[in-house]
Amino acid sequence: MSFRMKLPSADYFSDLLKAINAVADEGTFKVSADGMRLVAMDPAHISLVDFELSSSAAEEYECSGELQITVNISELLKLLKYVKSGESLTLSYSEGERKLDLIIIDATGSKQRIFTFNTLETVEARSVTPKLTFDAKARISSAAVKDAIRDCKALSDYVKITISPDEVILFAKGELGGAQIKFSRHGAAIYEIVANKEVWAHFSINYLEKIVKAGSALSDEMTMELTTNKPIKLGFPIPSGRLEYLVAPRIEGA
Amino acid sequence: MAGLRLEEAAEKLREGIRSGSLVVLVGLMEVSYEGRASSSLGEGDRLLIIKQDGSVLVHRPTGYEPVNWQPPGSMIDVAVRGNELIIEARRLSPEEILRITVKNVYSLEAYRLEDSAEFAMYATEEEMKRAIILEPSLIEEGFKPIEDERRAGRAGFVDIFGVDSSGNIVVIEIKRRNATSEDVKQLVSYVREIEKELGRRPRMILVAPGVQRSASKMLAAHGVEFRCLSPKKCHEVLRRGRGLDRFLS
Repeated sequence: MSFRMKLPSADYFSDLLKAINAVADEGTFKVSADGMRLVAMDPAHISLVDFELSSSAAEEYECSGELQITVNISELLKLLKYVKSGESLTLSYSEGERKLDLIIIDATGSKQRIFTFNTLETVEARSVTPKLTFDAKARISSAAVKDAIRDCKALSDYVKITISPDEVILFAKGELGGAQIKFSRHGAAIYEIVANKEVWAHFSINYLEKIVKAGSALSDEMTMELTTNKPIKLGFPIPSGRLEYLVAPRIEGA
Repeated sequence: MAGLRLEEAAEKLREGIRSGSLVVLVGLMEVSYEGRASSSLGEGDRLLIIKQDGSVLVHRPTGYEPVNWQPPGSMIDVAVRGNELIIEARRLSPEEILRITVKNVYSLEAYRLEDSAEFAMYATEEEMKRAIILEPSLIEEGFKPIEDERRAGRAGFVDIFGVDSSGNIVVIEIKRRNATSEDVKQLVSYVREIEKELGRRPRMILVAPGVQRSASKMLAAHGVEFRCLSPKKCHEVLRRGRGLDRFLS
């Protein structure tokens, strides 16, 4: 069984990998004729990334059957570090060899770089299907959230996120003081709020920062879905795909 | 900083060391070390700690590691020469001398301290118990914990008391280090009491990261089952319990 996918922008794929790497160093891509999917958690199981890329996102896509390709994402990113804009990326994998070929071709087609990457043994992990519903949803500028988290970081390791019918609030308090960043429904940062009550929860800034930084490189807009003291779902719309995260809340005394 | 006169400090130091106290001296000092290697540190404000077992540490105002130290059992000598208080910590084999020359003592305190707490990497026995209660499948599929620290007559308290998937009573004893024959005997003594109380013999499971060779024969002889479980694994289970797993199917 084999798999081959050509993407017009190697840069873009690198950004997608960085977004996955915000949560996990290693992951298994489940590849089929429809596209590729990866679900992975960080070692502490505080965050989860759910990534999907449809075959329609690729310039060329061939996949005979269903494959599982397990890779070390950070190592793969090292190979893609020196990718120039305009370079295309072709991923090629054959099940027998268990090696992933990355072919990077420059814009004029005159230079071709081929990297062969060893894949890892796929360990059949418990298949995690997130089944959560949320009481409130907000669509908000990802840059605005990124900045708000940065502002809170100096004061605390945790941020309280509140979504109410009128506002989204990020709040942090520590020994040095406190910070409160409010986004009004009518302001430029918020595109939409769907909430009939106030919901809130606390989250580790460390995990949120990495996710929002990587996600905001892919999408100007993000979604936040929340229920009081339950995990938050963060979504970054990408063309012909899906990039979503779950982050566990921190509950006092837990 | 007003401090102690050197002679006073020397006497307090000697008394502290003699009585096996932990001594903390803050002052202006120079340090030199001669032994397998050699080092010297010029004058500066530092913290000198002499522990209850004779270990010696010199700490600078920043950084978490001591700049110089001697292990427990060093011979410590205190003397005042001119306007210097000299503390020497000496080891014989290999021969090593740590010499601290104190010019000014800002503070000097001696304490008799008590610390017999267990240092546990990963999980303590209590945490291992909590992990099993959180995830009973660590023992076996279908195991249901009912009570922890359940009294077993006059023999003591059982770590976990529960039932298995067939309805048999199960008694579990947890150890965070390799199980010994004493542990087997302990579990058997608990179970005898419970058998008297309930009129039937429970399953006995000894849970530990491993078993000492001398104990494995005892396990078979007494019909005690063994379940391998490490503090590290329990720590992972407890950590996960705090994350997303609670919310996901």
